[in-house]
Amino acid sequence: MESEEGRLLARAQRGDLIAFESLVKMHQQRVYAHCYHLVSNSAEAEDLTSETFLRAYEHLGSLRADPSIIHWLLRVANNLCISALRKRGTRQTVELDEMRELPSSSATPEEELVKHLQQDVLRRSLDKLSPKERTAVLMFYLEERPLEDIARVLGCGLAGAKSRVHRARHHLKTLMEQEMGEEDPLPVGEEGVA
Amino acid sequence: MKTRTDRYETELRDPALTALLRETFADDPALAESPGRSERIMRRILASDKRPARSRAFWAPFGWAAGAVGLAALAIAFALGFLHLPQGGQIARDPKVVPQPAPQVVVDNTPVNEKIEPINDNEPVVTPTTPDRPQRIATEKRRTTRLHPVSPEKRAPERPVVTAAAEGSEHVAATLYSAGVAAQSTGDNESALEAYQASYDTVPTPEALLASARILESMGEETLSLEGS
Repeated sequence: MESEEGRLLARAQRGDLIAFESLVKMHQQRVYAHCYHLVSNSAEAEDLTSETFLRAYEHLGSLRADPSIIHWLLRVANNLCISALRKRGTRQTVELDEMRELPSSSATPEEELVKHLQQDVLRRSLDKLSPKERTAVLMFYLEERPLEDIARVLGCGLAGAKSRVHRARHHLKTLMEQEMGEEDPLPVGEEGVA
Repeated sequence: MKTRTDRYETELRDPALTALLRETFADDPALAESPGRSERIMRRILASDKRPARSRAFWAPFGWAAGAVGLAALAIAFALGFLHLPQGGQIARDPKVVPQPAPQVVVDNTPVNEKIEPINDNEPVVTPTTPDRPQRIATEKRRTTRLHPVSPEKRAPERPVVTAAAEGSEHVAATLYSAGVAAQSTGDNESALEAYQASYDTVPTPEALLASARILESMGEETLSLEGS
């Protein structure tokens, strides 16, 4: 049985712009989040999201909703982000000033500070990962996507995806330990990354 | 029952890292849903001059295949034309198209004495080819005419054509002999000689032989007298 996405894609391929817009509405948030996680810049992520859907519009005739066009979109977005990061040379790190206000919680101010510093270390470590490692970590651990989806987006096999996730996690852990060593050593071992 | 992929995923999962990542990105305002993003994307698509490529028709692969085959055939035809190679169809229809091999000069370094074949008596003797008989007769006649020109009026009457079936060879010989006598009486010794010789060839009689000898003797005497004068 044809899915709603499949019907919309078929209509869009016949020239129905409303159907294409529905597809954009359906997937834009996920594509944007993927781009934002990779480039850590909202304006650049918006631009890369638009570029991804423009590419999709160009190749509308060859798109297949089997099982979903999101894998094709994420793959294109991933490649565009990697190109953008290469052009940029060094990845832009998120400054502490730009970080959000800490949410109010029942934790003590010391606990909040430790968490804040841990998140800062994590962001900086993520920035130091290669784009493919970053994609693997964010899709597997943050979005909790299956290995098959990661393999489709990265354009590799299942074993390759597993290997990338494993290496990326190990690399991230090493980077975080280095970052924490540079910072004032805080008691992160208690609730640190495994 | 867990598959191997499920086992991999279970091994790789790290709840602590997942929790930290979620906390890090959960309340990021940049990740919040933007209501106007879809419209902005659509505006950019419509403003661009890019249009969707036509979807491939089902027969497109066949078209490509036919084109590829055609191009290959053309390439082969050009190659054959440029290289002057024989084409299969023409070989069967027109043997003249088949290129003749260039004449090769073979230098025979065999010593001459080795080329001479030993004579074997048992081998059949090959006689040289003789020219055709009519041609040989015509050549002989021309030579005789050149050596002994005879005026038309002195020429002996045409030798009667007799067939062996109609008359006997003796009658022919006698007739020839009579013609020789008649020619000798007119002074045409050459015609008389020919007639006598023909009579002798038909039936070898002493009269014809004697007459021939007498004419030859008289012709010799005439020649000597002419040289003497």
